[in-house]
Amino acid sequence: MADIDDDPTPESLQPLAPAVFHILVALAGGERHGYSILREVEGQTGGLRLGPGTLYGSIKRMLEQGLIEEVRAPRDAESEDERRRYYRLSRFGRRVAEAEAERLSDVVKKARAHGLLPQRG
Amino acid sequence: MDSFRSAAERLYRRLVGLYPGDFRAEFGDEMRLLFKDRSRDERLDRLLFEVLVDTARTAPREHVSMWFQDLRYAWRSMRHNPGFTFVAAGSLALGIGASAAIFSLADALLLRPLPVRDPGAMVAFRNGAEGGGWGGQFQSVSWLDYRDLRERTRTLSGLAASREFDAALSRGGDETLLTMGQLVSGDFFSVLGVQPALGRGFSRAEEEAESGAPVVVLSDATWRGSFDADPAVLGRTVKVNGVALTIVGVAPASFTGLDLLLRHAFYVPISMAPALLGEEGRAVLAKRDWRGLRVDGRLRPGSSVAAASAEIATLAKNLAAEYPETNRSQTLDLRTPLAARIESSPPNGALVNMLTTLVGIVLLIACANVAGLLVSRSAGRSREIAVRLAVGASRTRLVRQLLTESLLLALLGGTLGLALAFAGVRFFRAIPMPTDIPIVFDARLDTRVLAFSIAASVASACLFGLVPALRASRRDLVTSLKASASSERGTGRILGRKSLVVVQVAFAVVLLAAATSLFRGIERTLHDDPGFRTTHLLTATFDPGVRHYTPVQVRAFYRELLERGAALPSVRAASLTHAIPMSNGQMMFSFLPEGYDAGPARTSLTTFGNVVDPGYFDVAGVPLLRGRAFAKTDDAGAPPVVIVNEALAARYWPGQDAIGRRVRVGGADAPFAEVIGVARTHHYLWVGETPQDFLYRPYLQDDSARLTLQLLTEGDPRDLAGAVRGLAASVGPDVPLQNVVALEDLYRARGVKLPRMIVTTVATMGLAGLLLALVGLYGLMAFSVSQRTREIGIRMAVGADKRSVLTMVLRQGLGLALPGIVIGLVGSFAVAGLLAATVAGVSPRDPAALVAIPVVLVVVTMLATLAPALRAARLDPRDALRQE
Repeated sequence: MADIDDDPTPESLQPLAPAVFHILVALAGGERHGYSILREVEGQTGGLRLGPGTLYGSIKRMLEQGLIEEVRAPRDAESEDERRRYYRLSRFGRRVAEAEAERLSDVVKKARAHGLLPQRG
Repeated sequence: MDSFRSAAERLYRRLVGLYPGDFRAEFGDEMRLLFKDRSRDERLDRLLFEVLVDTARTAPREHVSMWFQDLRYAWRSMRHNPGFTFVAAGSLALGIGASAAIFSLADALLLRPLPVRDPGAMVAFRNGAEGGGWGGQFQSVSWLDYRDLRERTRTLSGLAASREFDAALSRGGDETLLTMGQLVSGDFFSVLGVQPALGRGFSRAEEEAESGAPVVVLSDATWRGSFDADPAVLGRTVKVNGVALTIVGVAPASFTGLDLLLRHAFYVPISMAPALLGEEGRAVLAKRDWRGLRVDGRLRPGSSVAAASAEIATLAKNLAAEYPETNRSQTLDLRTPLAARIESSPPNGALVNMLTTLVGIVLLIACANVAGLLVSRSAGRSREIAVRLAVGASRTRLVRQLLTESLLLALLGGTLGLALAFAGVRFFRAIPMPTDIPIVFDARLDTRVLAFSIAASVASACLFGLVPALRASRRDLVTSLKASASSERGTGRILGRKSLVVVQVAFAVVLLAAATSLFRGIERTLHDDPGFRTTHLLTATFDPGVRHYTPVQVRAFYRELLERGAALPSVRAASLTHAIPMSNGQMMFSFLPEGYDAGPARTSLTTFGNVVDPGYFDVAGVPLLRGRAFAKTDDAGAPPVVIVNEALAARYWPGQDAIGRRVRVGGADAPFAEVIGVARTHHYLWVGETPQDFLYRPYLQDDSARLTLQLLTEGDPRDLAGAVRGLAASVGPDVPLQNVVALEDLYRARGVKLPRMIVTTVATMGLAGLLLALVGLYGLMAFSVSQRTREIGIRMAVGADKRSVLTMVLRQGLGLALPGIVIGLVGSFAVAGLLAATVAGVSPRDPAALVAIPVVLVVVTMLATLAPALRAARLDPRDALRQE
């Protein structure tokens, strides 16, 4: 079902939905399954909990857009976890995450310039 | 706590069930696992609340997104195959557009329901003793019978009686509108469930008022046209036939009357009949055998048409026993409004029947085209589909996607088709109605036409979308993946498509044959002498009856009109006639040749006829073959006489002399009239009619006050219009004058333009059928050549030259067309026979159709096959073989 005829660029996907960006960031550290993504996002955002529909809806679209890929459960995973699906960033997903982080950091710079944040150092 | 947790898990399982199937299959287990994990670590009530909100937000989104994905996919695949999309949507547009246009026509002529509350509960009273044709049977109940039936029926909740009449309407001042009004029973509006937009309807007391209740309800059109939609119109006075009436109500715009074509200007209580119509009006109310009312009944909830019809038949039998003098041979039963319309206007029924049959064929060809295209495309796509199945797409999803594609195609075709239908309706609206009588041919694209087109597109989408979709998705994965496009599995499909194309060609032949023989038949008739004079005639219609002229005054009026009309400069002769050939005001007579057995329970037959003066046959150019014309002495005091046409004479006195025979014209108590002449048969209603029986009565022996003056002129009759108006103003300033037109213009509109429109319609359908079949043939040949690329390559590699490849492909195309042509010719015999029986001049075995159509189709087949054949012949064998 992937679009073959119009290859997307990272910029064409911007701005990313917050959930998508959070999931990309959560996967930047390595492959994870759904529950682990959820916990990671909760940790990195200070308490944002993605509902299961939101989480898997985002995952579905990210798979379709080629941002992430499904991988086999790692050997060392606990036995129960073998049933789970693991995901990792694709090369394209990493580029998109970088571009989005760049864009957000520009926003932060502007915010700082306007005095919304204390000047660094 | 554990039981609570497992209950919560069960609940969440339910919630997951709300997501689309594909989504569930992909992520359902994961989501439940996630919920289980979280339920271990978090507070259950909060978690439940969160997932409820989450499901409510995301489940609908997943559905919509899946749907959009299907649409996007369908759109993309259409955009990538513009040729396919164009041909498929174009085929559908032709089919749907033609059927919607024809449906609009059928709707305006026959199908549109009565504009009353709950029209499905209405029934029409039919008098079985009256002759058929042109509504006579449905306007044949007497007022006294009606009142008895109304009291006695248990199956009908109400009966509305009505009778139309010619009326001169004026608001005061001197401008007079010659129009038509209706006398109605007191409960007319309440039975029909029509609530007046202003004021009120009538009451039982007004119906029964001894000397008539001088009140009137205006139609919406009259209110707008003559009173500028003045809301203060109630209480004002209008004059109808010179009688002052108080306006008590205005009918709503939605109520256009009980007749589809005729628009009545106003309604008055039937108790006014004597005041408005004089002698005839008194008969309406007093005589049980004055049968001229239309009666519409409303079924009681729970009673059926059949039960009510049986009851009315019994009640009519009872009346016949009670009043044997007047009701001996009378029978009544009920019809649905649609059945009544078809029975009272057989030509319209036949026309609608013919056109819907033809358009049905066009729609079938169109659907066959699209089905063929989709089937052959599904062959090309089987690899793509197999790949998608292999990577885990579910079959239902695939079927859905393919269906979405067909549906989108159908909608595109439907939209284009609707545009075509608009053009068709504009064409039909131009049907000429050259008369001052308020007739409206109201063809329009309304919501029902829209619904019909949408239903047709969706139905065809399912029809041609589902079969290839299911077939494609049921294919064996492995073979599909291995197979190349030219695999052997294609043979069955090709065979299916071949038979589709054969059927298409056959249908196209039938359509073309019908169009050709109709075209040639009508053109032939139009070239023939119509049997009466059409040029150098000016007509003007008068109606002194609406001014309450006595019969003596009427005669004096017309005598003076004739004398002074004939004396006008450049007028060669003048005559009077009631009806003009091919106009709307044709007369029907009950009649019975002396000694003729009309069959059980029938006291008379019915025929078309006319009332004319002695000079008519000369002026109208209708030759008398035997006997004499009417004379001035054939008046009310002389023995009744009649002139018949050849067709009538040949039917009732075959091989004998009709002169001196006797015919009873009118009811059972009418005197016999002697046949004094036989006139040549001509076309009376339209050029396509088969020979009609016809009889003429002398105007001095008929009490009809509405007559048309015909002036035979030296030069252009239109130049005399002013003189005729002046003449009318001086002979009878108060007598309304109507339709001052040259007969040539009337004839051109009714006699020439209308038949040509029908021919154009049928010819358009024939060409549409041919075009569609051509496209189908081309599609199949192109497909077949692309499938046989390798085979052709091999043939050429082993020595076949371009020429032989070209011939091979052309021969294959012809091989498809020939069986279709043969089958179609056989089918067209049946259709042409049917046409010949209803339309004069059409020969059932038109040599032109039999020779020309096969030739045309062979040529067209060659053209359709030429492009694919050339492509095949130009193949480079090396490329063809490398293609695998």
